[in-house]
Amino acid sequence: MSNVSKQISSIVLVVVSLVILVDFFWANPTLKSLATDLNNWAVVIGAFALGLGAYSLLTRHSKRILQKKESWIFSVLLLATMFLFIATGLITGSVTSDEYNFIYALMVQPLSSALYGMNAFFIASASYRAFKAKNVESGLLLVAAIFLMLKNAPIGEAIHPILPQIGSIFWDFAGATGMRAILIGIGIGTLAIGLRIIIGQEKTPLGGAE
Amino acid sequence: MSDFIETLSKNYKQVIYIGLFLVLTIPRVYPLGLPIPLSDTTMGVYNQIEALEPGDVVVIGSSISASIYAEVYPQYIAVMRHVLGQEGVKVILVDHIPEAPIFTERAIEEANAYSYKAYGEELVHLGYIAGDEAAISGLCRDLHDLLQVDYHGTSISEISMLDDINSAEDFTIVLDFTASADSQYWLNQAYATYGTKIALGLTAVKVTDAYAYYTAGQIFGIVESTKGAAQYEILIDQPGLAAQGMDAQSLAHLFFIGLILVGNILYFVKGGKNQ
Amino acid sequence: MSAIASLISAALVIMIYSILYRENPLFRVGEGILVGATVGHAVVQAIFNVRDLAIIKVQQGLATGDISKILYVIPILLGIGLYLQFSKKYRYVSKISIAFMLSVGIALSMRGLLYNNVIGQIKGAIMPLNTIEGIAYTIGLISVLLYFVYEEKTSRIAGPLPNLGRYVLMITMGAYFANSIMGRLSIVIGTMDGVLVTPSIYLVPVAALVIVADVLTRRKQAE
Repeated sequence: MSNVSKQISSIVLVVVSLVILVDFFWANPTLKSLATDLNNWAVVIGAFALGLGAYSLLTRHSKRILQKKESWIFSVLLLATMFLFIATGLITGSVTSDEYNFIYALMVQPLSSALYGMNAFFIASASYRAFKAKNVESGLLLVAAIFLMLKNAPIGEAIHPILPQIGSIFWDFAGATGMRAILIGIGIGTLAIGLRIIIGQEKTPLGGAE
Repeated sequence: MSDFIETLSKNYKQVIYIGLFLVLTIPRVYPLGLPIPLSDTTMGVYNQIEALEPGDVVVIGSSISASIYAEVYPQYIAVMRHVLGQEGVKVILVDHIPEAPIFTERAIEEANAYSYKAYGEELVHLGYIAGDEAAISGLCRDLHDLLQVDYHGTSISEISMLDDINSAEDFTIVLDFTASADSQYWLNQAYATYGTKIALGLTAVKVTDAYAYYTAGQIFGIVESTKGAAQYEILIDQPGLAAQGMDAQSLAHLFFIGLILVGNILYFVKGGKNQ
Repeated sequence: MSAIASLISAALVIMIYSILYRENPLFRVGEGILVGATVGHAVVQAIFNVRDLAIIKVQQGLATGDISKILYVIPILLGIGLYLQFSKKYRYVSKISIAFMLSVGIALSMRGLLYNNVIGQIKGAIMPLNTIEGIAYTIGLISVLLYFVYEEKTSRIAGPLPNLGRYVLMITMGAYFANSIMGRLSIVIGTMDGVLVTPSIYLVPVAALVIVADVLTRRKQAE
């Protein structure tokens, strides 16, 4: 059964991706209609995928609670919050109902922004401790970063107009060279990996050899 | 005194954290009032929206979540206010992550959208569509085939403004506010296939990737993080949280530069050894 | 938001920031609530999306006899198949669903990235070589691309360009660093907007006193 499903998966992979790829280059109404349907089916499957994390969390944390493992009380809190949001969303029928908005603004917004913004403090201590001009490369990085910081914040212009201008030179240079090269690299890399997956050379996305 | 210095250098992290906290708090009490220079990328967005004509269709995509709220939401609402003020322009709001509809509806309320545009006639919120790039591709191919209902559950066929809007060919411009890959998806699906004009409102980290698209002429503007939001608030003459926060940004940037310089000076004074 | 709600939100922010002092249960409480809430929200959106994008279509298809809408049963089954990855016996079924999603994703990416990242960026890189900018940008771009190919290896054809590419990349990394600082600071400033207002601001000295008390207690215990 596993071999049959592997073969079906490979056929699906090749056929579906070819339909969508060829549709980009060949304006054929039948092909366009088929590609649109396949595209929209992927959207539906993507919707189902949103719940995968919940299933995984539920099984893992339930086990923790039942076996009273270390810090199981945090698992209780996690699952209780999860069910609170699910219940509120389904009962009110919307994620923008007053009740849902209230619990979201009360809990998720402050926690999420606090967690995400915490990096600023870690970057600050790293700037002091680790960001040293030990060689030419790190010195260049440092100089570019300082001038770009002075370009980003209005204080640079206030100290002296030349500072953000030098920052702009670094910014324009980085944009036209390094950033552009990275984008080209991403494009070529994605094409290469995509082709490898389509022709069956790359098996890891479907779980490798089983 | 030497004990004090030793304690400080042992606990340098906490000293830095307290310093950063103070530096971010001081401008609230003593605002600096520094002028905010305008950048070309923000002006690009502003000018394109100013040039919109009645009948044009603007799609505003959002991937705003609680984690990037402080950085992207001020841009979103400033630009939305500007677009809503353009007479006769039709606005389609769409979301690309599960959390985004909450902020879209919040922005609609804050911007008083319904006083500018009647829902269903010049404004529609399509809600969150799962599927990442496939969702955006589906919108660009055939909106009516992908969606049955809008965010409020109204059948798409009953929304009059969408009668002659079928695909990205009918979109005049797309504005996407995000920290995620959907900026790339809009470029891949709308710009690459239909040549739709695109501008992005991004977090600072994503701006470095997007700038190469801007210089290549593939996007017509970028609203860059809070700085861009502050600039836009000034352009539309409605200064808000972003403009207020730029003083704290200025002091904090100086603080970071100070940390880097002090760290390096101490490093070289100690003969190139880490303390 | 009411005063009590503001205080609760500010308390949650302070609980998260308490990790800057040291690892503690309050941080884990905040973390647990956030993870649970985020996943719960995703589940709600999943249910609404499946209803709006597929179930309604199938219902309409059955009512009107439209085969193309009835066929939406297939992605519904494939979507349910995704969950079989948690079953050791039927895991193989989920591979078909994953293959489907993967193929659409790859194909869409490949089309777009070829046009935008490769052709578009190369077009954007072409500039007149009679200006300092033009020469510098062209040499810079080529040197970085050569660095990606050769890395640290020497090459007679490429000469010193890959090495030059490294230095150019360092300037680019400086740009990423500067921007990431601005980004993170924006978020902290925004977070503080919710804390440094009455009545939440009164929690800040309370938190400071708690930390000082903890420091003194731990110091005493160490002695």
